[in-house]
Amino acid sequence: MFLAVLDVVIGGLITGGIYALIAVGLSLQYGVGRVLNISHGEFIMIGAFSTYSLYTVFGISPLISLAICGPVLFVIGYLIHRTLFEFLRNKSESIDAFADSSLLASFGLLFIIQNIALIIWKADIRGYSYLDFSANILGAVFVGNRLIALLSAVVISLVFYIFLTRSRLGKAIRAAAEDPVTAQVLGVKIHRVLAICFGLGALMAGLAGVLISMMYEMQPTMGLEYTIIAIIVVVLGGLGSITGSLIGGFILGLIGSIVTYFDAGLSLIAYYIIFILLLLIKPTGIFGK
Amino acid sequence: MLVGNEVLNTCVKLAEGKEVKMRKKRLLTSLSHFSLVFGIASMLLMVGWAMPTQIQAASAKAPDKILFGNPIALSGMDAAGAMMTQIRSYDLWKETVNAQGGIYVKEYGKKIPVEIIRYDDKSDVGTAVKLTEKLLLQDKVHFILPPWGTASHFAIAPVITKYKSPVVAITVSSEKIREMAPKVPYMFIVLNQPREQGQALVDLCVELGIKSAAVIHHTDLHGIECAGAVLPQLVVSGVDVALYKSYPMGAKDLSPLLKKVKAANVDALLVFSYPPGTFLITGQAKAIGLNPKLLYLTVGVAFPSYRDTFSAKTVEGIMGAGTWNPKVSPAAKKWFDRYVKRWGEEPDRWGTAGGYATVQIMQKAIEIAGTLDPVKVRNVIASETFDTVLSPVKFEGQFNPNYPGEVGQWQNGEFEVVDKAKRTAKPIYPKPAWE
Repeated sequence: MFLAVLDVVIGGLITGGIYALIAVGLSLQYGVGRVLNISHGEFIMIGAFSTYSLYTVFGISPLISLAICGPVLFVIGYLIHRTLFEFLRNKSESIDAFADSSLLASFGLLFIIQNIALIIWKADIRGYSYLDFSANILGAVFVGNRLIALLSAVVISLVFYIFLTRSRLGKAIRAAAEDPVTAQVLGVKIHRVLAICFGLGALMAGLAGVLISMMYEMQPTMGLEYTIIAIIVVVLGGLGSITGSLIGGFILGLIGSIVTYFDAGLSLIAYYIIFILLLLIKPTGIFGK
Repeated sequence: MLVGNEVLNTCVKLAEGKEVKMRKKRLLTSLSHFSLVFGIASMLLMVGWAMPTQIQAASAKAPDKILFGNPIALSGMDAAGAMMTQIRSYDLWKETVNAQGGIYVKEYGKKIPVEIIRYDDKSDVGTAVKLTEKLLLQDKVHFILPPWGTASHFAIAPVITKYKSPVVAITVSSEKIREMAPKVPYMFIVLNQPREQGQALVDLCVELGIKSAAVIHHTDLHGIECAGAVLPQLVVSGVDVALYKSYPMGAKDLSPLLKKVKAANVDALLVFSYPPGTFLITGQAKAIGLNPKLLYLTVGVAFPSYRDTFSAKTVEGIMGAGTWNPKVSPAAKKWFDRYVKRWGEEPDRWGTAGGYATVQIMQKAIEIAGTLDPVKVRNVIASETFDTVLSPVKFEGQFNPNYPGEVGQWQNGEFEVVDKAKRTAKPIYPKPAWE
């Protein structure tokens, strides 16, 4: 019994760690910047495929790819926001109008990024094996790369949490999430902060992509699946609550794992049932106000 | 007002003058047109007397190109499968045919090059249907090359039947389409179907002396049908099915399920899966040390990328659905080399050669029919035997009963055919330990 519980809990945390990273990224982009970024999953895909190429062509370890893909995607995300979304935001009459137009724009981004990836990597299914040894934790057996992924996810989340609560920029981000207008009045350079948020969102997606590539096969069209999970987690955690998304990710992973233990066929259904129940009972999410 | 009238009058006069000039000019041009047309016509007549009547008719209406319309996924979920199984095969075929000058059409007495008009259906069934109609009605293509996937084939079947346009399909696998077939006589299917594959798998289990098995399947129609076809046959053959479970598409962690399989300690694990599940289960089974004597998974095992992801040593002894390999015939080996040279990737060991076979069949049928008339071409497809890189194909009730293999097994980096009737190598049993 103890073994079964351990199995389910660690298994859930592994999946949850990935979900948390993805969701924090989207939460930064949507919760703070109001960009419901449908192309979020494409940044995950870019992270995954870059890692694949770096590993299979140049022999660069995926763990080092974390340090490469993260910053590169941050810059890409930052530039996309400074050009595309800032333009849309300035043009929009209200913040709701911006949310609508940014949704459509990110749809466009989705197709652009996906098709560029199809040209570069072709449509074939790809994968590689990395650290796929069996690791034994008190009798429960896991794949090495999954435990590394969990560890990485936890470390990244903690670093990010400290950055958010302790650093000046982190405080500016939280202020912008609370109330962008007041934050701007009080001297926060709102456009810069929003672009940084979008960049950080892309960075988180990229890091998640690197970890995902160690565990799953990939194809250029894999992104949307993760975007949907991210949306569920963001709603679960509470819109605009970055901590909520972090914890929400782990909760969803655990729920999935528990349901899979009893009946694997019901695991995805469980996600959507939770999603719908939450919208009906507490639309603001667990940590939302 | 007065000024206005003057201006108007001047305009009218000018216009009349111009009119007279133009009339003269028109007369001149029509005279010269007439003489030109007369000249060409008499030249044609003279040439006509010298030419056999058949060629006369031919050069009159032969199209510049034989147009094949291909609505298929270039983006979206189906793009990976479409690229691997169909698009590269179609394009390689087009290049090969055109390098030889095209397809010989007797009706026109000459070879006509081939062109493929391809649209992205965005992995959407509705779009595939609309594009099929657009290709037939607006682009006036001569034939259709189908989209990717079972659902799209179900969707376009009534359309191609309505317009009487034959389609030879590869990526469709469903027992339901067998029931539907008589109503859609223009659809022909080259791929082997769950029934034959299930039978071959069960026969193999019996031959190898499997006593107990676990059956896992994904919850799409494909998984349900395959598992449903195999389960009763296993039971009838005296195999004890200790575990029968499903998992959803998009599952990210199946280790709890696999640990149950491990606990059940069965001889065989039979998994009816799509590529994401196939890759996930292989990796996780290895990690938790689940190593049944026979491990069979469905779609994806035959992909070279499956072998390359896990390494040839890791996948040694794993069985999967398929199958075709370069060893099935000398023609197959030649085509395999040509394919690798052209695309820099190996074809998969299941449908890619079949994809190429579908267009070879279209080509041969046009040549035999000697016409681009779709109904006549359809009748040839239905009745003739076709030599292809896959194997000889002769349709029985719109299905190809002679796929070169049903069950494959990775042995030394090649996906060998191991089912009892068609094997290219003896099955390795029990599966070696994970490396």
